[in-house]
Amino acid sequence: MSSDLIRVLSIEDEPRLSQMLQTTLNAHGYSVLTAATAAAGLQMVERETVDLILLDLGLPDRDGVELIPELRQRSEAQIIVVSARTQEMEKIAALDAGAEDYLTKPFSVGELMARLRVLLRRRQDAAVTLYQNEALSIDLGNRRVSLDDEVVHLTPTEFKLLAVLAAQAGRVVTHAHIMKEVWGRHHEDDTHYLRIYMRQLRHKLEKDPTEPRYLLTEPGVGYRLSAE
Amino acid sequence: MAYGFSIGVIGLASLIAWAVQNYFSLVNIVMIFVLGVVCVAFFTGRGPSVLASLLASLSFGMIYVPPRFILTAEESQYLLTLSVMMGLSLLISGLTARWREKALEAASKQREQATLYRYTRELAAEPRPAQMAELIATRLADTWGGEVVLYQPGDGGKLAPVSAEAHEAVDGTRVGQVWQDSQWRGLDDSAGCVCAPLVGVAGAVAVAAFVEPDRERLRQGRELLEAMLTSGALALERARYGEEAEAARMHVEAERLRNSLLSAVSHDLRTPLAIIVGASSSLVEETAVLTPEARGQMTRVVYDEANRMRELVENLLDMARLESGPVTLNREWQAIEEIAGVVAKQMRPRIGARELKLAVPHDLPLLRFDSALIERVLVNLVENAAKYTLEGSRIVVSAQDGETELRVCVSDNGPGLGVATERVFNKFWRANPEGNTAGVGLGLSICRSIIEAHGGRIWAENRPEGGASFCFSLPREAGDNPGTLPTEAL
Repeated sequence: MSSDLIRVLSIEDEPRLSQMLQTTLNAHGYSVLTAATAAAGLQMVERETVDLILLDLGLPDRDGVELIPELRQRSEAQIIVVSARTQEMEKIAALDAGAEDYLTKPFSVGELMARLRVLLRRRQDAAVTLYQNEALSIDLGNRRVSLDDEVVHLTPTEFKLLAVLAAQAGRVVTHAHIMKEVWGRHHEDDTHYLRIYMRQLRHKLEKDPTEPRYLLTEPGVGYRLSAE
Repeated sequence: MAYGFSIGVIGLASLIAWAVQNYFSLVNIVMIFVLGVVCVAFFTGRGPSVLASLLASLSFGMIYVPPRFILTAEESQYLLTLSVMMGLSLLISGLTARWREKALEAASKQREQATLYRYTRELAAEPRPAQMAELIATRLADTWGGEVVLYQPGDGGKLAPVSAEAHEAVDGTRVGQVWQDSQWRGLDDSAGCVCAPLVGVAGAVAVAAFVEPDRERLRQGRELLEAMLTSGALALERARYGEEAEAARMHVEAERLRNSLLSAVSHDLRTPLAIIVGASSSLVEETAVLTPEARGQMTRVVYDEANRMRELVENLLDMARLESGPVTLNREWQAIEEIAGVVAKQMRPRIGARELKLAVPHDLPLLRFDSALIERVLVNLVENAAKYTLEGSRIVVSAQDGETELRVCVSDNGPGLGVATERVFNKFWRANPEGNTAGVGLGLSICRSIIEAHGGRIWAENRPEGGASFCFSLPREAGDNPGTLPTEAL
């Protein structure tokens, strides 16, 4: 872990919310920059190096989703989008456009911190080849999955699916992305395959498939392999 | 053809007479011919009957009256026979012709009646004005042939054709004139359209333009036509009044809801706000005086009440969204156990010391529904169960596969419902309106809107072992459940 403070850019137009985020993040040891408009956010990103961006999707001057590719052009910072509850479609579009994760307003500090932690951990491990969490262990290099040190046999598709989630462990992966990675570009709408295979995976890996510990469902968005 | 019949019958009579001539006298043989003539007169009109009389006389005179096979002028007494036969045949054919005419007339009248009955019945059964106008135009065209275009005043009072294409052959000015003075036009012309007014109780309601009409037919059926036009006018008037009454009723209903909403919201938002202001003012102004525990408690109170307000606002916004128009569902293949699992995880911290158990088989068929909305339904149902049961109660979310539907229930072992198992789903319905339970009474109503938008049902019942059960069903479409895939090798 580098000794520099992690720099977070918060692009949020609501001043009080922005203030609150700043206070909270500072309290957790992050260095915070703020911008109240998309334009200001882009300028900030060009001038300064930031590690993480908290992007509100409801900005007054630009569509948040459009902003994402431009932010990524200028910076390697990972992006978490913050959206209102009714902005389902925008949320998914943002994730598909390159955002790493999302938060839904109103969110608790705990949720925010959890998301940040996951993203920061990823920065350090460039390529994830090993996932280890409690009883579940996934070795992507050797294609080995074990539960409580006992090997679990997965079909090729099941493994591919798990691998896609593990590569982004802790972060949400959208349905579209999973479908594309596992089944190919032409199957993006065949969500029923995904449901069935996730069911099979839960069945093989979870103690209680109905209340999974590792393979978490994000309804309407995608799935997340838990990192805690 | 009738003439052929005539010839045939008389020919037959001649043959019969020839066959029996040795057994009967002439007087009786003439009767056979009379019978033949009467037969023809009964079944045909005047022309063939006259022909029959002539043929019969000729035949009888030539064949039977001596000298046989020759027609002589001296048989003047047989002129009497001929005259009598002619007279008889004319009389009888005249009678039968009139009888037949009357019968045809009666049948035609009966058909007209039937048309009119059917038409008025159809009008009575159609409540919507646009469809009614189309019906009128169609039936008029069916009955009188050709095409009929109905004109009604549109927005701004201008006459406009009811169906999309205004017929070019219709003379707009003529239609306008008919509208003005409610008089027929065009019936006496030789070309162009015939325009007739539909006049109701309060004046002209519409104008019917008959394009390239059969004028003769219109004239002959004038009575029925007038009856249909009047019925049509009255029906259109009725429909319009019906619509106005419905609009007024909805307006009143909307008022009522808005008032309920205002009173409910003002109470249920003010209470948590009062607490928040109180607790936070204490934190702001009296920090020094408060013990850490007290400070912690105040902060906790602010958090809890703020969450309560958030839930209320979310319910209100959901309700507004669901009510503001047709619900657009984002239907995707879903596994119900995933949604149930997410809800369970989300709700456990929020239901205090109550137990939440899932009884959802993990191999239920996949169904197409909107996951965000169904998640909301489950959240609301669990929240509701928690609200009306004591600490320590048990809440169970279960799912079952029906033949044509998927059934999901949220059950508890609390006090159960009163008698109002239906009304609980109404907006703003509260079990205990004056009580301390927070909430505006929208949660269940939102559930119903969502389930009904999916084509399902939602209901509440008391469990025989005590407690309440709130269940909903989601219909399975045909071709549902690609629940299994070909097995892969490991």
